[in-house]
Amino acid sequence: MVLLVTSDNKNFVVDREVADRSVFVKNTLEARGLSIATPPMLNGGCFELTSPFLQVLEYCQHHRGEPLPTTDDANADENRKRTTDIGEWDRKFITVDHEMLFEIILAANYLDIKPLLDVGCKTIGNMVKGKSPEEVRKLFDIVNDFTPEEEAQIKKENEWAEDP
Amino acid sequence: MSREVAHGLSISDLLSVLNEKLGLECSKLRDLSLPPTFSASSLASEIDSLEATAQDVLRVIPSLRNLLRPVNRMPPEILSHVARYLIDDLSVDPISIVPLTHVCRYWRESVISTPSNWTLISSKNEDMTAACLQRAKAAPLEITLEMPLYPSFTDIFALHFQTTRTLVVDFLSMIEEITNLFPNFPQSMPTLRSLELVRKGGVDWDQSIDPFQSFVPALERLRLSGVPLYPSLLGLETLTEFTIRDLQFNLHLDTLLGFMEGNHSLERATLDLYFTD
Repeated sequence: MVLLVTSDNKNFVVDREVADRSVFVKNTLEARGLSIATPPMLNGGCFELTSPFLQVLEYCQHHRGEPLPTTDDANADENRKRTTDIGEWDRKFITVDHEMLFEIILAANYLDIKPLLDVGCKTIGNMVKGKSPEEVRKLFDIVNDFTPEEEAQIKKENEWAEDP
Repeated sequence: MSREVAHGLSISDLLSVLNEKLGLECSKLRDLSLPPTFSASSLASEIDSLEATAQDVLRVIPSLRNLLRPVNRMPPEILSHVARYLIDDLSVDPISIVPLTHVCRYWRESVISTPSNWTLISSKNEDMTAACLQRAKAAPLEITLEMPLYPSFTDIFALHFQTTRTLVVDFLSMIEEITNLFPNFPQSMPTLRSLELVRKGGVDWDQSIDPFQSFVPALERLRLSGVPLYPSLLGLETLTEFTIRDLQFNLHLDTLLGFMEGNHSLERATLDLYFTD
């Protein structure tokens, strides 16, 4: 068993097999020979880790025992299955509100859990797929911060993308 | 020159207030009066400068608001990750991610500044090819060409042969189309790892004339469709994946077996052949 302590001082005792789904935790434990790993604060402490960490733990527990992606495979990205399909369990797992989705992605990125990061990025990919810039802005409550001059320049620059 | 205007306020004080608050209360402005002697041109210049500063700051405000949006807390590499999935899912070129570059400055910067988002190059559109090659910088390229190719494409690609990792040539009517377009092929592409040649019609090919010089030893994947297994290709011994679809040429079984046996690294082979002997 491994004791994991989040940045907001919550303790979680988990199986080593579950903890090792995070390359960050795995490397930390191996390097220090310890049973305690403290995930650092995200973005200088802007986020409380407990909430997304619970979700991340659930993901790691479900996928425990599955082969970990190899980090030394130079062609990993090239050989990756080119699809935005998401497995049934993962799809249900990642069906959360936007804020939680982004926090899970940030946590997966920070804790180095590539399969979970992939699921999160695919989810966002599926959300923005086929949408216009204005629709994407509306989806994520983003303001158009281009000046009219910049917009004209971008449009001109990407005229090729407008061709049928 | 006196910068006093009224009520003890100097121009510099006024500018300072404007710079801080980016605005004036109109009631105070109405009370202001200019001193008897002043330089109108200098004052106008100061006002222009102030206006430019104010516009710069105002332009940044929407971007500052966007920083607070949960989606924009994600680092640029994650937005690029999302973009890459869209490319993989939807197309053979990066056209599907162009709308993402129009969302806001942060998305634009994140998606454009990642060279790997722009490495899928096709010959559909010259302007798109040029834009993608520029954004891909020195990242390994995956190029898909549909023949016949406009000669101008050759010039566009010429500078990027060194970084081409994957080359797909489709709709070949004669094998010499490749060597005509890319002199010194395949030596001109030393980083080539994957090659796919697809024939679509054309006159009969003379398979006894090998159009290629020796291949780079790094080639790992070879896919041929309607293209003979030329002697230069038989020399490849580093393939991990080999696919051949040949219903037209009389490929000798002994030749094929010898080729496959010589490739000790071969992991997967797909054969769709018509043998006449």
